[in-house]
Amino acid sequence: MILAFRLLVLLLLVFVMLPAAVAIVTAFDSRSIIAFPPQDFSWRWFHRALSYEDFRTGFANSLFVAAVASTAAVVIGAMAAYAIDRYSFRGKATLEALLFAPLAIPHFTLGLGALIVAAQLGQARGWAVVILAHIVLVLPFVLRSLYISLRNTDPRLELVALSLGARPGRVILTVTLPALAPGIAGGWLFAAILSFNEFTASLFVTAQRTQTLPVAMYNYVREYADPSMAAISALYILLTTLVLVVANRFLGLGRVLGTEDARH
Amino acid sequence: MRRRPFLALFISPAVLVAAGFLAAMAAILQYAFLAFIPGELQPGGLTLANFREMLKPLYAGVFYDTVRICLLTALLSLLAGYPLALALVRARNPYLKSAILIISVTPLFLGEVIRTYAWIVVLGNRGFVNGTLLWLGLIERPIPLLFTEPGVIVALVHVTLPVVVIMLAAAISHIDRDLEKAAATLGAHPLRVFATVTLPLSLPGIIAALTTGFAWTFSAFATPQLIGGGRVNMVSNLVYSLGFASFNFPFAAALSLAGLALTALALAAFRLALSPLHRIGVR
Amino acid sequence: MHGTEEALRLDGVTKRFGAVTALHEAWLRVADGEFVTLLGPSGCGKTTLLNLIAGFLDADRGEIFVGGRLVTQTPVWERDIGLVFQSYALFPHMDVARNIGYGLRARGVGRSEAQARVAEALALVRLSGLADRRPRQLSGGQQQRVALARALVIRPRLLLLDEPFSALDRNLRAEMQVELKEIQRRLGVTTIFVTHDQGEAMSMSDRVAVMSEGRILQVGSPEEIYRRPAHRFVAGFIGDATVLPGRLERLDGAAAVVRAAGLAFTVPAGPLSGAAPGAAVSLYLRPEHLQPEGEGLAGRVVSRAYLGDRAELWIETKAAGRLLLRVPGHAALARWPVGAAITVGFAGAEPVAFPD
Repeated sequence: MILAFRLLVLLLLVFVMLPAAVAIVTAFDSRSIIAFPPQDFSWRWFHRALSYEDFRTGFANSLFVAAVASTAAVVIGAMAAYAIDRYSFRGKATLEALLFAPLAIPHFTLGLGALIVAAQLGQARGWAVVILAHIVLVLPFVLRSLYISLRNTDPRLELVALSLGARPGRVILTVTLPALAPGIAGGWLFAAILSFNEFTASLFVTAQRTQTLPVAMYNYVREYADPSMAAISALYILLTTLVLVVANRFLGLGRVLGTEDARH
Repeated sequence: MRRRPFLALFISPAVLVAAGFLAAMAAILQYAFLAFIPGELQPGGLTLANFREMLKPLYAGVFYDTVRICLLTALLSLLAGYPLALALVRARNPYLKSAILIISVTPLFLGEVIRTYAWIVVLGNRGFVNGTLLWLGLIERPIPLLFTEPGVIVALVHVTLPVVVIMLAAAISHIDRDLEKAAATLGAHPLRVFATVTLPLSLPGIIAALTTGFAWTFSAFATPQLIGGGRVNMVSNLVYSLGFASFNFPFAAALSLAGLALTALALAAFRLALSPLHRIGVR
Repeated sequence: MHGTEEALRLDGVTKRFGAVTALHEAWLRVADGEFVTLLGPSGCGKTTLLNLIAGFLDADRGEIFVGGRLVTQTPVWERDIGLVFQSYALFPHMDVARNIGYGLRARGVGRSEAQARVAEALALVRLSGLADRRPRQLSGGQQQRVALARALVIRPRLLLLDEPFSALDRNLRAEMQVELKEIQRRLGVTTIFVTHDQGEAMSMSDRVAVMSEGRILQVGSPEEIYRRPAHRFVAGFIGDATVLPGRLERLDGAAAVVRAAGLAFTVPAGPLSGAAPGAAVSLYLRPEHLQPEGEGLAGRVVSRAYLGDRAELWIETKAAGRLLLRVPGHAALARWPVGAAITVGFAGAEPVAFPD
């Protein structure tokens, strides 16, 4: 009976891996249509994908947006998380609710809203709108990561530092920040990955010149049916898996996501 | 020393971000009640025309389809996700644990477009499923899987599965292992232990997973857009085609608003329907 | 009650975890109705042994028999045991009655019979009015009793308790020990009790199995292991001991003579088997057996403590270093202030010696 369960789990894992595996296999097919079973082996789609102009600019744009949005989110989030966790002030609950609310709103709704606001302000679809939208979307995750870090640090350490004569600014720089480092690092990484992959809201707020990679890929799929996308997907999948395996090694994904067994 | 040093500095940027979010939501709220002037970006005056338009069978049908798809996806994800979550939490071999975790969670980090594209390759007329079946001689003509609702649902389940697995795993990991051991010593064989101890105690997780799965699926866009190909439409696709293609911001905003209300209602209904069961699993 | 088979029999049960051997060849026989305690410090293997008996772990070697039946390969749910956990492990989503009745339902016992037996079990642990309470509404002691009732209602061949009282405060603990013993005696259920608290072990058990580093060092009645420890660990772990270095003079059948601190002591020969005359040994003496007079060593009082029912005197002697003396009552305090000269007498001692 345990065997049946194990078999079921295996089948489910195969289901989860199937699309990725299929995409990777297709990327190496030499034919310019997507068909199974694959025939000759070829790298041509990888060459095509890597040299395709829209993919290249898209990639650069995505990197830019992800870097800026994540960094901004982490800075904004660290300060806000600290204030929310350690201080009490009027409107704290409201602020917290507003910062986490984007989690409950579909990205297409946020995208539409951002688009309307940008149009109203006459901003059209420049970098600011895209980056701000990304910040709003990734901030909840950054905050969560920071909350975990804050909860794990003893606030009494700061009191001790103060009692030893350090001023509040120094205490925060020398005691609080180092303690928050894992939350900041993890939050930044998570935010960067989410921002890089974000599609729906970006579709609404990006223009031709600010197009991020997911949007570029979407446009490509709608027009062409060749395996170039498969090649990009293959690269993406391998890269992401690598990052996750490494992250699991060093940060312990299980603990971050809360899936570890309570009592071993 | 002041009890709240740097308070203003710390929260101002966040306040700005929150304000930005509010502005976007306010825009939706505002435009939903404004009239659409074809050919112009600027809307007209206050009206309820958008909501009246929504009641037309064409659009109401999309809402109905969306709810149905979301429910099905959430349920199927739960059924598929529970064994995975159980295996993930209870696996004793750390490599196996990591493998299950990474395999289950990676799709989450691949982005909608890649995941959806991969399913296009799998479901296409010459894709993996059809190609293999044709090659094995089991069918003579390809089975249409793309642009059908089942195809969309399968892809959506794949998209929702990671989130459901994480939520279930978190809930299962909080179950005291001693309880299962106690049940075993009292004579319950493993299946009975699962049914009478593990499952009831994971109920809060199941409820959370269902509601999250529903909400998550509702916001899906790329998957129904690409795999549905215009024939299977969810609210998200409708908002896009109206807001983006026709620049009918007011109607798109109204649809978004209705969508939000719908999701909130559905979630409340979930809680209400499942809350008596919720008490069984509570510590 | 169950016939003539032993309730529990362990034949050379061994358990390894990777390179570490948690349990080396455990041999044990427990008679029907006995109360046996596995006693030892943490890491000694007592919990491993309990888990092996319960079936949570598989033995690497050896066989386990419960009620005369070979159970080494039998899964947990078929072993006919009742287990009380340290953490109670009451099902939070069931009320007290359903918790207690769980094992009965699992065994397919009929509704009315189950109800009657649950009521009986509740009365046994004196919790009759609490059948429809939830575990979280009960105190620690009450939860413990429900856990006990749950394990007993299925009338197991063996009752296993894994340090069940360590989470309770001292008074409650003492109360529960007495109750458990009474219930056990009344029902005649064979009980294996695991603890690191020797007071608990000594007061409740028919026999005690002292364990250390994965081995059962001695199994015997509380009196036996206190007065005739077979192993130096047992002598040191149980009660207090004063240890003197000495030499084996000669072996004389069942007894031996050891010379320590210039005096000759007669000790049991058993623990010294294999040692040759002249070998270095350690001599163990109980503080309450030493007297402040008679033939012995001369010394001076260096420190005292009054414990209410007795006085403890630390004596510095030339021949044997520092020795502890226990004298009942409080008269000793007046007679021997700090600095007073005193003789440590060994007349009433029951010394035991072990080879170094």
